[in-house]
Amino acid sequence: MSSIAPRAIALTAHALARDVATAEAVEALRGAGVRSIVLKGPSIARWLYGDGSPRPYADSDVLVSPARLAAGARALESIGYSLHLDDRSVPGTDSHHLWLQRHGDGCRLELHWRLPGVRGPAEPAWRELSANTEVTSLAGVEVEFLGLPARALHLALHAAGHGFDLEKPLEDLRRGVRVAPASCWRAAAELAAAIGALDAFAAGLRAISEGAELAARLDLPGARFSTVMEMSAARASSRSVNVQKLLCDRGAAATARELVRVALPSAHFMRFRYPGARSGRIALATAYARRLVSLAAELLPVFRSVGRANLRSRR
Amino acid sequence: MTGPASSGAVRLRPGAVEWREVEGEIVAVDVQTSEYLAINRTGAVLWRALEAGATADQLAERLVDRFDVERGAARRDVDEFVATLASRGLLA
Repeated sequence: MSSIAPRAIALTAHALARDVATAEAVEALRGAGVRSIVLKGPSIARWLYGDGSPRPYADSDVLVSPARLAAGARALESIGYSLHLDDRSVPGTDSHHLWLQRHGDGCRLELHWRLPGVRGPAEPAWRELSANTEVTSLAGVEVEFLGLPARALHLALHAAGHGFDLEKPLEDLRRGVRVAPASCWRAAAELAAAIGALDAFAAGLRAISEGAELAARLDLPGARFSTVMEMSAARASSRSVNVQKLLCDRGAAATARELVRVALPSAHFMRFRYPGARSGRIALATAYARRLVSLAAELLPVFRSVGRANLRSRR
Repeated sequence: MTGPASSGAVRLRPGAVEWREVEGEIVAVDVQTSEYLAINRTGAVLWRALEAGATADQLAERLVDRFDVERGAARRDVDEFVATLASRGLLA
């Protein structure tokens, strides 16, 4: 008779079931000649949660070469997945994946074509990340995990992507900082520099105090994203944090262009986001009008919050 | 007493289960059937030994060392545990 909480058992069993689904996906990709690397979930649980703490996850994450993305999506369609969302169609996001779902069993899979926070070209980044992987067995299938430096890098990028919104990436990062040796983090920093992810890497590490110390030891560049992390720590709205992230990353002109794109996204996105907009042109125009009105109301506090953060940083 | 594992070493069949240790216990999913198993701390000791492979005597020895139980009782527990896993096709 087990003595651990039924919830811990259920969460772990669910995660293991995802591993079975991930292994099936890797086999399908391999069958179509698409090399893949399993991200997050099992690669983090095995590496950082060997102490027996539960590390739940609810979906599969797989990285493929950007050049093989379409072939990968087709391979996954052959085992029942269908495209739910291509995040390149979502304005204002750091796009990096296709989100697929399988209706029969509710499996969700994120087919990544790059890691979040990577600013360099995606194909060379894939070549760097796929150059050193760890081959292992997952649910009876041979799969690849990122090598440890790339996995450490991904921990920081994941934390940077979520700021302080989610505890799980922060706990993963805390454990990674504790467990991985300095040489691993130094290699992660070199890899981050090679793929154009150094700013996000530094920002992610600075999301936790142990990481900030490590960032200082690694002599990482100044906190270009420090205002983003401060706003996140102060529980600023996610929209404010995203605007500030854009401002830090791409400057004022690009941020203004992006805000226009957020206000007036593609019709495809509008139909996805607002089901009522699917019934015709007038319904679509009405959805745009409603979006503009609601955004105007939302953006005023965002601009105030961003303005205050930038003023503070200049003092 | 002759149990299913008395004649030689047995081990978890590679690829048959995906499992994780949680708070000292084992949660496993049978890859073929998608059924899950929750194994308590006593079973977890045997499970870890079965990952590398062990005879029934070696498994019983582990229980004696770990839980200070009488050897005959330990062997009965081992035989029952191993038979359960074997009936599910999880042993090689």
